[in-house]
Formats: sequence, structure tokens, C-alpha cells
Amino acid sequence: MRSVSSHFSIMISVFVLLFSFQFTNVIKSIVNDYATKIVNDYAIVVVSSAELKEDELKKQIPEIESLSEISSKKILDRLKNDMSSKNLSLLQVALPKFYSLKLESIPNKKRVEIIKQKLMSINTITRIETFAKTHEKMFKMLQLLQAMVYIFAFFVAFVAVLLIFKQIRIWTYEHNRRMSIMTLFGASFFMKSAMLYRMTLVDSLFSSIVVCALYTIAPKLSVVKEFAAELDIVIPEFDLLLEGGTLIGASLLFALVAVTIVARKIGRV
Amino acid sequence: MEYVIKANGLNISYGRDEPIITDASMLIKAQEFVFITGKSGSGKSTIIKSLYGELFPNHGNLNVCGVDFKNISSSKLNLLRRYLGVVFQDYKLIDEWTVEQNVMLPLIIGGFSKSVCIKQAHKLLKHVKLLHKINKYPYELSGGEQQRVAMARALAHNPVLILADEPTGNLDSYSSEVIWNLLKGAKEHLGTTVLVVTHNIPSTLGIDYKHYFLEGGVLHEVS
Repeated sequence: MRSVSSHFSIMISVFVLLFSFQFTNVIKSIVNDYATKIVNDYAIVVVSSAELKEDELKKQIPEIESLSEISSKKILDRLKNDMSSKNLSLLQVALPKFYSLKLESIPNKKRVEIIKQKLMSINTITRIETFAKTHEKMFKMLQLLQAMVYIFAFFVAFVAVLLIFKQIRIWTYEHNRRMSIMTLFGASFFMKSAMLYRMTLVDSLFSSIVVCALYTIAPKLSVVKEFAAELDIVIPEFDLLLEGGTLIGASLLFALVAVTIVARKIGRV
Repeated sequence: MEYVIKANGLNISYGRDEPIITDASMLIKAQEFVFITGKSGSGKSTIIKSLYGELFPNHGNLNVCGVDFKNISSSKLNLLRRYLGVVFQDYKLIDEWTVEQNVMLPLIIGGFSKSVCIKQAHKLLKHVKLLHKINKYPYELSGGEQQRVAMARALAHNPVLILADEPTGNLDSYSSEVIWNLLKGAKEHLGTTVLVVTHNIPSTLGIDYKHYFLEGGVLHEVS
């Protein structure tokens, strides 16, 4: 029973370590996806008395994705009934041009201000609406969420690593007598530590397979799908080959390094 | 290799304590049978420990089986130990391994195939009259039986040198006889050099031997 529980302490710790690592990847993907959505929805409205050229603007502000004119036809159509056609023609001539300016990425408040100043330096531009406040709030919220997840995952991973090292240390002490006898007969370090390597590697492999299975199945569950749809987020699919391979490889490598460090430090046999 | 052990002016101590062995010198030729005797606490086991590299001399030169102990690397020490057969006073058997697995230990470390290991273990366990206890664990055996298993393990890989620390210390006369016969047989039939640390040299051994006496940390050659 004691032996089984000692295996659980490695399995659970490796599971927590890998789960938190992958969770940060998922959150990163969700936040990036959401950020792209914000970028797509976000635009600076520019009012200019003369026509603006996208290429010329891009020279001054490289992060511009596109510049498109907002048609004034709708506004004029609405005024058709209240104004004479002569006045309407005059208004059409006097009416400035409205542009929607899209950016490649979400700028921060400082960057928005710089863009605004650059635009204002163009003589024909009379007014700019950046909607910076709304956009900034949403962006900061996302960044805060991501940072909190990262910090939480770091601490969880840190505790998990400590537990893994502690368990390997206990195993090393348990097997110390056998290891020292083997040393007296000339066994190499890897030969006498083989048992420790085997136990840690098997436990780590088992845990990483469980984590891979969990992340493969979870996005396909209807509960998760509905939840994601409600929040208008996309939970990324788990790439079994790339991400799964990375998780399994990382856990096995970590197990190898951890056993080598602990056995060399404590064993010295 | 004329000399299996060449020791000159050895000073050995535990940590920074006063040396237990002072200015010890000995020359042991291949196929010799050697006894080191002395009172309890005179440092007999300390000499044995230095010969298989558990303790290193503070001063002096030590060469075992052609390997110099000055600045010896751990890999070289491991290699040397594969040519030694050590019998410990406290047996040093692996409790979670069966008798058969314990005897196979030096052969496994030596990289022999499983079938060779099993065959050799069975042969030696037959010699020590413990073939019927092959699947028992050390804690299921008496002290004498455990020491016979340890003896079989020390001989399993046909070592160049056997180092035995009080091999018959607390044993019954039957187990003692089995052990002395095996040590004698190793020298006579396999050409192994044997160094035994003991309180008393058995009177009925019936072979030529070299005798060192240890007193006050100084090693004297008696015969």
C-alpha cells in the first residue's frame, strides 16, 4: 500500500506539472484568438477633408492593416426627405470623408496616442475617434487573466517539482543499501540506479499519457463546447503528435534529469 | 603481474581522526594465501576497506591488481572491484533479492548473459550446500547460511583476489569448514589470491600461508 502511494505521489505531481504547462498553452491560444477578434472588430475612425491614401499613411504608421472609406450614402439617404435636393448636393460636396483604419495588432494606450498624433499632423484630418478606453479595458482584462494563469501555473508546477524530487529522494534512501552493495562489486552509476530510473520513468509516462488523453477529449465534450460558445472563445484542439510528443518527451527527460541529480547527490555510492 | 597487492607506508584514518593504520607495508604475490590477524579494534577491517577502495590512505602508495590508488577515478575503481571478491563480516546481502539473485550480482555487473549467471550461481550454491534454498530470501536464512551465500557471491565471477573480513566470525563449525574449504579451493584450483582478516588462523587449514600481525596500527610480517 505504501509502495502504491509512493507511485501516486510521482504520478500526481507529474500530472499536475504537465497539466498546468498545457493549461498555460491553452489559455495563451484562447487569449491570442480573442485578441485577433478584438483587432478585427477594432478600428480608428478618421475624418478628413480630403482623400487619404493608404500607402502614404502606411509610410508614417507601419502597423496599419487597411484603410477603407466609410460611405456617406446612408446618412444622405436618411436626410433625403428633410432636405431639398439642392441643399443635399451642397451638403454632399461639403461633407468630409470618413475612414475606418484597421491595425495589424492591438496597440496599447501609449501607442494609440502616438498614432493619433501622427494622424493629426496630417493637415486634412480634422477629427479622430480611437475608442481607446473600451478597447484598452478589454485588452488589459485579457492580459491580467493570462498573467494570473501563468503565475498560478508556475507555483503549482514549482510545488509539483518539489514533490517529485522529494519522492525520488525517499526512493533513493530506500534503495541506498542495495545501491551501496552493488557499488562494492563495481556496478556503474546507471546500473545501480536502474530501479529508480525505471520507477520514475514509468510513472511519468503514465501521467503524461493521462494528460494527453484529457486534453484530447476535453475540447470534444459537449459541456466544454457549450461553455466555449457562450463565452465566444475557441478551445484549441490538442495536437497529439506535436503537443503530445512534447509533453511525453518533456516528462521523460525531466524524470531522467531528476533521478540523476538526486541519486548523484544522495547516493554518492 | 607478480604482485597482486603492493602497499608501502600506508597511513589510514577515518576523516580527520588519528590514523588507525600507520606506515603499513605489504607485498602479496599472486596465488598467495594471506592472513592478517590482530586484536579487536586493531584496524584489520580498515586495511580490507582500503584494499577495495571504501577508504583511501592518507599517505603511502597502494597498488591492487596493477591499479594505483593515487588519484584513482570512480570508473577505474568500479572496474577494479569487478576483479575482486569481497566477503564482509556483516554479509551485505541484498534483502529484497533471492539467494540466487544475490550470487548472480557480480556476474550481472560483469555483463554475463542470464544463462551463464544462472548456471554459475547454481554451481556455487551447490558447493556451499545451499542449492535447495535458491529461492529463499536472506532474512529466511541463518547467519551461517547467509555467510555461505556471501562466499558463493564472492567466488561467482572467478575473482583475481578475494578479500574476506572475518568470514567465519560468528559461524558454527559446519559453516566455518565449508568457507575455509572454499577459500582453500579458490587458491588451489582457480589460482586466486586470498587475503583473510581473522582473529584466529584455523589449525587444520593444511596449506602454506603468509601471516601479518596488526598491533597498535603497525603491520608486522610474522611468517
